[in-house]
Amino acid sequence: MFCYQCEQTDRTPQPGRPNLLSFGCSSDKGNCGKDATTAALQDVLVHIDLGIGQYAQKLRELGAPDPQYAAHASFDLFTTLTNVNFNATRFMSLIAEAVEVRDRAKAAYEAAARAGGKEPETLTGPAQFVPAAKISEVVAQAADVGVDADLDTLGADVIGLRNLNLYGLKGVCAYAHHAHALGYRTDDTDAGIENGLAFLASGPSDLDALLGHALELGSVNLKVMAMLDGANTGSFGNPVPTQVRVTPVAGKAILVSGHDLHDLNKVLQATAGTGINVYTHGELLPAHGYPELHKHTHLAGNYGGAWQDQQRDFTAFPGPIVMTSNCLIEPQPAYRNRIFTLGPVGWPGVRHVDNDDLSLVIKAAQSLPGFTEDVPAETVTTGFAHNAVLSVADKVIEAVKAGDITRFLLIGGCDGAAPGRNYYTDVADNAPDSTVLMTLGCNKYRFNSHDFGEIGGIPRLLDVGQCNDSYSAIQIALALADAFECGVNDLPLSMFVSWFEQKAAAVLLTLLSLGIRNIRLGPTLPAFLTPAAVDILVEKFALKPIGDPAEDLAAALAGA
Amino acid sequence: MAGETGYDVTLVTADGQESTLQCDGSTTVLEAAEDAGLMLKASCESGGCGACSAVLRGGRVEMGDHDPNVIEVPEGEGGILLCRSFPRGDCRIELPYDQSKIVTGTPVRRDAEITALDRVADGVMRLTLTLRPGEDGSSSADFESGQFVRIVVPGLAPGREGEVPGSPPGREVRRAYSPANVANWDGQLEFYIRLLPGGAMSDYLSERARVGDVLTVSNADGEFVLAENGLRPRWFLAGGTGLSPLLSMLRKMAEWGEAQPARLFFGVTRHGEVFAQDEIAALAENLPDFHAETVVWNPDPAWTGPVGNPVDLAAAEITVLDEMPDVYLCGPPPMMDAAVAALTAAGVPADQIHLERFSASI
Repeated sequence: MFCYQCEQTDRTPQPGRPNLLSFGCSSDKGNCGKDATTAALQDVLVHIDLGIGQYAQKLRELGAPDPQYAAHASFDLFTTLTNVNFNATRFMSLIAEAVEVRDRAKAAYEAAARAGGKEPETLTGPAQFVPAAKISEVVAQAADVGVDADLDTLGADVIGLRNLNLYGLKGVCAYAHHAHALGYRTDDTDAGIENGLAFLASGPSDLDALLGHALELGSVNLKVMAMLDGANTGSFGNPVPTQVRVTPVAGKAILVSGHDLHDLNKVLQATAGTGINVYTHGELLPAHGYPELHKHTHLAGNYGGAWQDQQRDFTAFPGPIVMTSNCLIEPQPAYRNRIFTLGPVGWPGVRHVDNDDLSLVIKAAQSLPGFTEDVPAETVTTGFAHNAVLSVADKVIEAVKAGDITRFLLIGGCDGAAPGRNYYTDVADNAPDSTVLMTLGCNKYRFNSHDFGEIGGIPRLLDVGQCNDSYSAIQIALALADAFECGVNDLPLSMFVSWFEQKAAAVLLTLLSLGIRNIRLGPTLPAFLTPAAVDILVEKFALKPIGDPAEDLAAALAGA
Repeated sequence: MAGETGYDVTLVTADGQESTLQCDGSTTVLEAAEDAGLMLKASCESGGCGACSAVLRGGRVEMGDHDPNVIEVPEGEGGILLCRSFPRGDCRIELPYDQSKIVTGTPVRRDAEITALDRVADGVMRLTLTLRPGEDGSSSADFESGQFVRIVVPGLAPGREGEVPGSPPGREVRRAYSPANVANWDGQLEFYIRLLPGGAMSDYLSERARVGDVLTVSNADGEFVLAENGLRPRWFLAGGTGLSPLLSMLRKMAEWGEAQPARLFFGVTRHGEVFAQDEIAALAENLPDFHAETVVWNPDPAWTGPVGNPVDLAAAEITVLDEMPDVYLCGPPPMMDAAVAALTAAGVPADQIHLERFSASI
C-alpha cells in the first residue's frame, strides 16, 4: 500500500521508495489501521468517482445539472477519509455502486448532448475505467490509479500537489455530505465538487495550475462550510453559549461520537421518552450549543476526550456507542459488540446501521448497565459561533480599542496522539491575559477545561465549534476586519492550526484562498507537500511550521 | 521449595514474567492458578483439547487421564496439560503465551435460567439459557462468535464430585461450551451439547434438567474467533456438535451483513445425529454467497445427502479455488488432524487454518 494522506503517516525514511516520496505508510497496514487491500480499494473507488465528476460536469455545461452526482461522490470520498471506513467488503460494494452511478451519468450526458443536437464527447481516463471482477485484480489495478501512480514520470512535486487537491477535495466532500444529510445543497457547491473531480480526472501536471486549483478548492470549501453552517443553524438554530456537563448522571446511556449533528438528532429523537441519556463524544461537544438539540433534556452531557482517547473512553462507557463519522480507530474487544457505525463509517466485524433503525442501539442501552450514580457536576462552555460572538461585537471592538484585548489567538484544528501536540496547550496556557483564545475542532480538549478568566465579561476562551466551524471563525475575523476597516491580515489575530486529516486540509486551503498569512501549522507539515511545494506556500502565504511554543507565541504577539 | 500446604509451582510466560503459586498434590496446576487469581488459557479442562498445553522445565507432575495427541509439545520433551497436571514436587512450567494473555482476578460469573431444552438429534441436546443481570446491571450476552463459556454442572451431591474425572472432592465440575447464537442484548445463550453416557453434564441434561433451573455460567473466553481478512472466503468444517461455534460465526456474518463467500461442511457419523438443518437453511437466505453440505459417514437408507466426511468433501472442492480461504475447524481430534493435513496438502497456509479442538468431556 501507499498512503500519506494524514498527519500520522509513517515518517520513517524508506530508502527503497523514490526520491521525495519516502514518507508514507507503505507496509501491509497503515498507522491508522487501514490494511493494504482497503487502501487500494479506496483509491479505486475515488478514481471511479472522478469519472462521475467528468460526466456530471459535462451535464452541467449542457444546462442539465443533477445534484445526485455530487451527493454520491461526496459520500464515497467521505468513506476514504482517515479513520472513517476500514471495511474492504464495503468498498467492493461501493465500487460497484459507483460504476452504476457513473454509467448513469454517462447515459444522461449522452442523451442530453444528443437532445441538444450535439454528438457527445468521448471522455477518457476515469470515465472509462472498468474495475475487475475479483478483489485481487481490483487491488492490482490500484497501482495504476492510486495516489502515487505516475510518480516515475511526473515526479513527487506534481504528485504531491495533485494529492493536495485530492485530499482537499475529500475534506470538501465530507463537509458537503454532512450538509446533504440535513437536506441542504447548492448549485455552487455541487459544481465545485464536480469540477474538483473532473480536474483530477484530467491528469493535471502543471504546478501553477495545480496550486491555483487547490486555492479554488479552498474557495469551494468556504461555500461548502457556509452551506453546512446554514444546514446546522437552519436545522437546529444558532448556537448560544452553553454550559455542558462533562460528568455523567445515573441512568442508561448512549454515547454518540464523530461530527454529524443529523445523526445525533436521530439518536435523540429515537431515545426520547425511553429514559436513556445521550452523551456526546469528541467533536460532537459543540452540538450542545444548538437550541434544537439542547432542548432534549436527555442530552445529558459530554463524555471523554478527543478522538485519540476513544479506546479508553469507549471501554469505560457503560452503554452502546454510535460512531457517526471520523475519527474511528480500531474497536477494542471490550466494546466491539456495543459500538455501531452509521453513514460512511465502518470497521469489519462491527455492526453498521444503514437504515436509520436505531432499535438495536436502544436495546443495547437498555441491556447494558449505564451509569449507576451521579458524579459531581463539572462543566465546560461551548456555543461561541459567529452569531453569538458577533452579537457582542460592539463590546469586543470596544475592548480592542481600549486595549483590554490586545490580540485574538485562534488555536484549533484536529487533535491527535503525537507528543508535539502539547504545543497548543503551551500556547494557550501562556498567552497573556489580554488575549482572547478562539478554539475549534477537537484540539480544544487539550485546554478547554482550563480557567482562562474573562475580559470585560467576555470569556477569554471561546469555543467556536467543530472543525467545520472554521467558517464561524472566518466570519468573526471578516466582521472584525470590516469593523476596523482593515484586511484580515491586519487584524490583531494569529492562527495556530493543528491538522490531522483531510477536513483540515480543506480548511487550510480555505484560509489560504482568503489570502490569510502567517498561519502556524503543526504538529508536522503534510507529508504530501514536497519541499518545493512548501517553499511556494511559505513564499506566498508565510505559512510557518510550528516551533518552540514560547518563541512562536512571542512572535505572534509581536504581529509576526 | 515446598510450602506448608504443597509445592511451589513457578509459571514463566513467553515474555519472561514469573509467578509462583502454591499447589497441593490433589489440585491441578490450572485449578491452583485460578485459586490464586490467574485465569490461564484452557478450554475442556479434562485433558482432551490441548488448549492448556505448557512445558515442564523442572520438577515433576503426574498427569491424569488425557489425550497425549493434543499436547503441543511431546510429553518426552516436557509437554503437559495444566488441567491434568498434579505436582509431585516444586515445578517450573513455561507457558506459550505472554503475561498479558493471563486474565487476573476473580472470573465473572452470571446466573442463567434454562429457558428451553430440546433433544434435537440422537445424542444431541439444544440448551437455551437466559442470563440474569450481572452485578453491574448488564443483561446482555456479550461474547465473540467462536468463544466458549464454562457452565457449572449443577446438582452434584457433596461427596459425589470425586466421581467425575478431574474433579477432586470440594471442587465444582464445569464444562466448556461454545454458544451457537451471536452476542445479543437479551441475555440469550444457545448451545448444542453432545450427550455422553456417564458424562456429568450429560447426565444432568438428560435426567435432571428442567426449564427454570438456574445454572452458573462464566464469562466468554477463547481466541477461536473470525479473522478479519477483507473479502477472503471463509470455510467452516464442523464435526458433530463442533458445529456450535461455527454456526455462531456464520450467524454473525449474516446478522452483520458480512459479504465474504462462505462454505459450511458439516459432518456426523449417523443419520440420526443430523441437527440444525433449519438453522443452516436460514443462513442461506441471509448470506449473499453461502453453500452448506451436511455429510453422513454411516448413512441409513433414508439419508439422501452426501456420504463421507466433511474433510474429504472440502478437500475435493478446495482444489478448484483461485484464492485459498480462511478455514475454521471444530470437531473431534481425529477429524481436526485429518482436516489440517488435507488443507495443508491442498495449499492452505497454516495461518489461514483456525481451529478449536472439540473434546467431549464426560
